[in-house]
Amino acid sequence: MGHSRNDAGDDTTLKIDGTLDALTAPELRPTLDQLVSEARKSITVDLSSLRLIDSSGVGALVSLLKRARAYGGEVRITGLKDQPLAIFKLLQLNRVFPGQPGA
Amino acid sequence: MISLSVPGLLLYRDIAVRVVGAAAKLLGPAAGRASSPDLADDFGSQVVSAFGEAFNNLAIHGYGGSPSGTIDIEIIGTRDASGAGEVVIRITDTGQVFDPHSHSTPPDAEPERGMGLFIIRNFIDDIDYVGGPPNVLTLRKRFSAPE
Repeated sequence: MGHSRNDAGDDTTLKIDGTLDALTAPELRPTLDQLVSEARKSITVDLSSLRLIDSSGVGALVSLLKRARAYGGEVRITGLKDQPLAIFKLLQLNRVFPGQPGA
Repeated sequence: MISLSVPGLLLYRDIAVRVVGAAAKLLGPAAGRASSPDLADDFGSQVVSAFGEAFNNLAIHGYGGSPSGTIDIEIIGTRDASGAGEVVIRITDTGQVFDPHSHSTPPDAEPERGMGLFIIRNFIDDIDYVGGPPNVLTLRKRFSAPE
C-alpha cells in the first residue's frame, strides 16, 4: 500500500494505491489522524489505483468519514473499480459517502 | 488442485490472496471464456474478498497474531459439460475455533468493524465449518454455464 496527500486550499486529495487491508490499514492511520487533527474541510479519497480492500480498510475510511463529519468536514470517494467497487456495493457504502453513483 | 501453506500471520495474507485470486481466474468462469470479462471479474472479486476475510479471521482471532501455526489452503475447480461449475476453497488451521455460522449480526449502515463474515456469507454460496483441531472451513462458489 502506498499513499500520497495533496492540499489545494480547503481541499485535500488522498490517493491510496495497492492493497488496503488488515495488514496495511494501520500504516494509513497516522495520515488519517493528521487530516482529522487539521480539521480538513473537504477530503477526496482517490481509489483509482487501489487493487484490493478488505473490511479493515473499509473501517479505516468509514472512521475518517465519521470523524470529519463531526467537525463539519466532508469525505468523498472517487475512482472505485474492480474488487473495491464490489465491496462498496455489497456494504451499500454509496449511501454513506457522498458523490457515489446511486447515492 | 492448487495448494498453498503459509504461516498464520497477516504478513502472509497478500501472497495467499494473490494465489487464490489467480486460482479463481484459472478455475472459475473466466477459463476459456474471454468474452465475459465482467462475469469473470465479479467472480474473482467475490472469491478474493471472501477468502481475504476468512484469512483475517484465522490470523487475528484463530492464531491471535502469534506465529504458532499454519494456514493450509486448497483450491479445487470443477465444471460439467455445459460449462457450469464451482470453485471450492478449503482452509485448514489449528488455531482457536471460529465458527462463521455463530456470528450473524449484519454490519450497521456506517460500519467500522463486523463486516468480515457478512462479506463471506454474501459472496460465497455454501460455507461449511468443522471445528478441530484441525479446523476446516470450506467455501464453495458456483458459476453458471455460458449463455
